[in-house]
Amino acid sequence: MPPIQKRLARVGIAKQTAQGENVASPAYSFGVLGGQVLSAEIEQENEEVTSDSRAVVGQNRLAVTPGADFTMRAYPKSLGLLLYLALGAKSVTGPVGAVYSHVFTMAQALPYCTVFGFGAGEHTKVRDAMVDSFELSWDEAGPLELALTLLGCDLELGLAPWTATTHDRDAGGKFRAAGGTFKLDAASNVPATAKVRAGAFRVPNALEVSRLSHSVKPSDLISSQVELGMGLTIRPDNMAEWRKIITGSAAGTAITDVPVFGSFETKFVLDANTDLTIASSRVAYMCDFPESDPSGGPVDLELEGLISEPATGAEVTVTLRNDVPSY
Amino acid sequence: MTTKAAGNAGETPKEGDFTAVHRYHVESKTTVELIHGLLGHVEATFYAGDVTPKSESEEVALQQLVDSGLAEIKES
Repeated sequence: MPPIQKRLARVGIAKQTAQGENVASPAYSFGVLGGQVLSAEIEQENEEVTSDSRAVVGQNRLAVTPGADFTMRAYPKSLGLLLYLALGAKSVTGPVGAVYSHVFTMAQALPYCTVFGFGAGEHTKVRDAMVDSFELSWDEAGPLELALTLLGCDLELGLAPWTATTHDRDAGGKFRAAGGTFKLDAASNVPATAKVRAGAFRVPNALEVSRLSHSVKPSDLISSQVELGMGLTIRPDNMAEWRKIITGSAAGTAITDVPVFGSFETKFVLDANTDLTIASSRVAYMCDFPESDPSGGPVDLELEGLISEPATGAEVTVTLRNDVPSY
Repeated sequence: MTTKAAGNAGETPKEGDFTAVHRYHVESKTTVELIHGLLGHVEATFYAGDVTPKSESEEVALQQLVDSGLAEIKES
């Protein structure tokens, strides 16, 4: 028998309508940049009992938590389902021509999903899963990278090969930074075009695993407080954005007593009918003053934005335009 | 929550009684789906025009459309 091929791997995702639903096959599947298409974290401890041997006498299995942890490209079709699973609310308008407009926002709870895995020759399934962490990042003009961590309540091994309704491939296009528009303002809710070099939109759902006495498997998952974030690295012509964070205005000269809230809007365009816009109007930015360097070079500012609850409207609005009627 | 219990004067409101406080103007045909902590899974389709919610789940769904910029609250 030959060794197992590492390259042959993909992940499939399907939304569940409720906890416990057994989904037969995924809605979307895709290849990964790296990571684990299936993980099973085992929590086990030594049995600390005296003996007439110096070896460990035994083990206690306390918990096993199934999941998946991988990075991938942002493909225009599957990205919508992943955004819905990460945020919890979606609405769709259209079609206008053949284009549907999906808007994803935060809901009070998260949907359950099933994560199908194929890796190391195994076809697997993680059931009753939720998105623990979602991070969409880019560097300069390169393609977007999506880092996903999912946790589940159960897993199935030894499955027959599964096939997704839609398999996302590179040939179908992927979102890139090039061709996009990048706006921010550190002190107002009207973002303006900025010289952005890199960024990362983060949804850390911070799932807490609920455990009961009858099983080592999780009984359920629940999201904790979510510190939604947008990190933006800019190459500025002046220190206006940094001054806004400290003083409240671009021309300010003294520390302000109140926190300063700003905004951002980043748009990634695949073609005339396919784009992705992430926007928020209440973002508390933090930024260090740049370090000086005898060897020279341009100053970059790394703004770390914490997205907060606005007086009205959504905390963050993610709009995806594509040809998918519904997620 | 922009809802209140309905019922005749002197009656104790019953579960399921609902009177809309707000009306909404929906921009275009929209299907909304969200996971709500108290109501569970909410799915509703609204057509363009003025909409008066008929249930608490519809009210929540319409509020989500306002948050998304796809509808606005209209004064009654």
